[in-house]
Amino acid sequence: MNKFATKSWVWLLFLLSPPAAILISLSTGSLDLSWNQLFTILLQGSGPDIEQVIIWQIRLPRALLAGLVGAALSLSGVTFQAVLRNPLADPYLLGISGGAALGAVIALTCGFQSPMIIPLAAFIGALTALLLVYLVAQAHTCSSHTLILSGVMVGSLAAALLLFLLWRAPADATRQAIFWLAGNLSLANPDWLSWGWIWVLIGFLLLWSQSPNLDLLTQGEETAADLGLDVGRSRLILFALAGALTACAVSLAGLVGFVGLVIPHICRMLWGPGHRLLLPFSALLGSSFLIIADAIARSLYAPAEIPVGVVTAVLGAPFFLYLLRRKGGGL
Amino acid sequence: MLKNFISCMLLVLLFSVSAGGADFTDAVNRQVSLPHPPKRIVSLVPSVTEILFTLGLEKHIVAVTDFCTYPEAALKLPKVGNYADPSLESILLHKPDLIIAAADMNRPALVRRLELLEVPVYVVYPQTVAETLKTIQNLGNITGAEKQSKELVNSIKMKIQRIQQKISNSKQPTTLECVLLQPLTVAGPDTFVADIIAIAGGQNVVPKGPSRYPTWNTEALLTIDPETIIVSTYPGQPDPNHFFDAWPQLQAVRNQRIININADWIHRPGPRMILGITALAKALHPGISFNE
Amino acid sequence: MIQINNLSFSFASAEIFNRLNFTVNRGEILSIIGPNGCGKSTLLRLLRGSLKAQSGDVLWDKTPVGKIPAGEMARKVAVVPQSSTISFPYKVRELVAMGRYPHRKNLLSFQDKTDLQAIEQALVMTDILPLVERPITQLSGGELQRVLLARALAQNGSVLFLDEATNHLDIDHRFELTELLLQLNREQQTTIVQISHDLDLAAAISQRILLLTEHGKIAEIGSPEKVMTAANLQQIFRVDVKVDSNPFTGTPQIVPLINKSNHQLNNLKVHLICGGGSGNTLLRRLHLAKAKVTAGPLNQGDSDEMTANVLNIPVAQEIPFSPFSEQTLATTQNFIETTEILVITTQWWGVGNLPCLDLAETAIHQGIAVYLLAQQQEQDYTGGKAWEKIQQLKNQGVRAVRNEEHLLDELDSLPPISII
Repeated sequence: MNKFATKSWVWLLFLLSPPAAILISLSTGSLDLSWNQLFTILLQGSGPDIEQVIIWQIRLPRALLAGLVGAALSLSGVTFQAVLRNPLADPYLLGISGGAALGAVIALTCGFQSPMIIPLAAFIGALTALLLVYLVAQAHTCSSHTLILSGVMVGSLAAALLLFLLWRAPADATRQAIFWLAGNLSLANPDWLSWGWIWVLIGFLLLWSQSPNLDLLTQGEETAADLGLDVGRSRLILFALAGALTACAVSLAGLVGFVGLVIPHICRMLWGPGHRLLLPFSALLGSSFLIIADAIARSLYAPAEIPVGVVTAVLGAPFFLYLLRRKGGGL
Repeated sequence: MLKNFISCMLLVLLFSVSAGGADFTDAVNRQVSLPHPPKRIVSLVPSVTEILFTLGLEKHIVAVTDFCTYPEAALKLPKVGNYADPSLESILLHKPDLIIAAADMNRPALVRRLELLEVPVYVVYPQTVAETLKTIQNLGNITGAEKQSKELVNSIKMKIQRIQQKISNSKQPTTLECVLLQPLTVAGPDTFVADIIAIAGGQNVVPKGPSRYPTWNTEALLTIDPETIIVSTYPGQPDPNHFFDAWPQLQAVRNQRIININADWIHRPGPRMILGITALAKALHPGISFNE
Repeated sequence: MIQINNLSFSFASAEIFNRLNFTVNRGEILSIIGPNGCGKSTLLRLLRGSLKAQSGDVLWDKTPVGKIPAGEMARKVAVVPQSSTISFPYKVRELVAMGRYPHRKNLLSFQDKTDLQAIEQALVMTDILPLVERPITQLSGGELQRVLLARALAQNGSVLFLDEATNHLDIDHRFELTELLLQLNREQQTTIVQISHDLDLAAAISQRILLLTEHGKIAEIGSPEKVMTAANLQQIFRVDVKVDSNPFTGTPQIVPLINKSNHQLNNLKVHLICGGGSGNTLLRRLHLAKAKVTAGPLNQGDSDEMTANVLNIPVAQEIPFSPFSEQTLATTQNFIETTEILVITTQWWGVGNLPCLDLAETAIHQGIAVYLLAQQQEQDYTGGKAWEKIQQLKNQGVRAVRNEEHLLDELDSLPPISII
């Protein structure tokens, strides 16, 4: 098969996938709508009717939110995998998930109910954990193994504190915490959508500009330095960017697993490890994936909703295993 | 001679049985043997604590759980921990002659461990209003308070009958009961609350699903659009009176049919459930007066 | 061009280099050779500036290497590393293209004509054009090494560092690489510093060779003829070789003297006076040759004592760190009286082991064959007394042997001796 032909075909597919995913997501939910109805509503624009409200004020913001969280997590996953030279890295490595969860649960168990507090606490928790790991490992000069180890330790510490808080907490707070920990796109305020997109877009552009550095870092710190890269500084910038993207995702949607781990691999298998292409495609695929996963989470047991993290795992794991068998390694 | 002897034995037997010692079968079909009416009861179930107080047995309660919050006097009783994982040592230290546990909150493993303490364990499992009344009766029987329990059961039954008479011709409004607001968690059909809604003349809109207390998103709420929304959350949740204001499309919001009911009244299968039933009936049938 | 002054470097607590001094001349090919673990790769890293020395400096054209910006350094010198474990399946072309990174104007620029030309050239020169689209995870060790070399060539630096770049290469690629290095050096005046285990090739192409001892000291630096002598190689690598002059290139050519015959000593009784590791190899070789070996006097904890214990060789033992007592000497005397051969190894002499030389004298008088391995006067710490005794022994009929190989040859050729 002509390599070039395959490429442009897949190109198109990828570019179209988030919009397609959004359309699919808009068509499904507690309210039954035919495609005709959907298109009519889309063309009509927003309005007071219940169907219009559902499409424009509930489903669309939610799909866009899923898209931005999926993109953020994928980009972060790509970055961590490259910098740590570890194909098993995900956006929550280096203690970020522990820190974010701890922040959120502290906010929950302290009884704060303002809708701003929990996401803010998660955001701060994520970045604090990253900073702590960085300082503990003296990351400017240490090896990636040391970094991973300190990340594991900080994460474990956070998890232990988290469990303690949950043990003390009343049943309601525990239930809320569980929902947050499993990833939940229904909690976010649609007003934050535009801020979220700006954040992710800037993050993406900055990361994209670092593509050559990312490529170099995958060769090992010594080789990267031999080729003239300032390894310490690059790592700092990349971790800060990836950390910021993860913190944003986590504050909006809790801990949605699997996206940041699997999407980069799938894209690497289809597109190779060069980051100039890997970054944008991971973002696109991650978006679509989470939009679809969220649509499933909302619709499978409508009107009830299951945590989106369950769907991402159930969808992601088998597909990934299948791809692995087909391509036979070569991560 | 022998005949006399036999009669004497029969009398002794009769006497010992009527002295209160007996075998009982509890809600999970376990045989519980109580040689005499219990004088030192450990209650591991908040609703049971309430029942025992209502039956006038408070002087026989030696310890309760952290969550036994009603009546106020219960707060002063010694505590043995939470209902899922109480401290076995604490329980033993109170030298109980009866432990009452619940089948859903206390796992079977806990019951097994309690049995090892060589103290009779009685397990309750009221899932509906009717089962709650049976539980009240059973608890009366095993504690020697049959009379009081019978009175209590009858009183509740009468009140329910009266309410149901009053609403017999009313329409049954679609109802949604919210256990938590964030995330929006509602009561499904297999729950105690659902039974109360049915008795109070409402139609629970939540369909059967994988979870007894599923989470709903805003879209589900808007699509189903129940006539009445009951909020029975514990402190710490957002203000129910304003939580739904963002969605004026909901008829419950437009018609101001968002009603707050004390969570204990409709969640605890105990004597206060009648308060829950009454409050719910009032909420669901605003046109009818329920004078007591 | 590159000057190393008083360079000292330690890793954790192990000292690798102590006050090293040498220069790399512009446009020369310098090969660094030495036994495993002597610090060759570390030296290359220090030259490159990736490692910082504890004291001393590395100057590139009089500028300390630490002060040269990373980008400039990467444009100046390219490193071909020993190997790399790569987990990401970059294509060969992509990997080689990374060599152009130091020449980027900024992060966003794409490759221009110069870049593409440099990459193509590198691919051709290393003969990996047929592999360009292959992911590197599917390459053999040798192919990967050529790719790494191509990447370094694409960097277009004026200096090339190679760390055992020919390890996995088959013979034609090894020659090609060597030709390539010579060509670069000749046409572009590329300064080349390479670490190599292929001594012949190193000798053939280098202008100078730097020979390191196992303790990280410079044994010799200079032209191949000067450095690669049989004596140097014997001392540093502990091999017996003959060094000829390659008839075509005129450069030194090493002919290993592999002793194909096994030494068979048939229960010959040998007693070894050694210590401090000097008897290590001999204990082993005598044991392997099936001699009946005894040893002593040795302190407990001495490395020769530990080797002897492992080989179940009877030892006259002394408590640690003490001079040899009368008792220990008496035990040794007993061993000697029942032995057929007495061997004294090359060792340091101090007041503690001085009496051993007396034992040797006694042995001679008893008619036992005594062999003395080459002794160094600098290793005499008894103020001359040991050296005197050694000279005396020589006068009394001790047989001097050059080295262990010589000794084993002598012992092997002895007619069977009846027990005295």
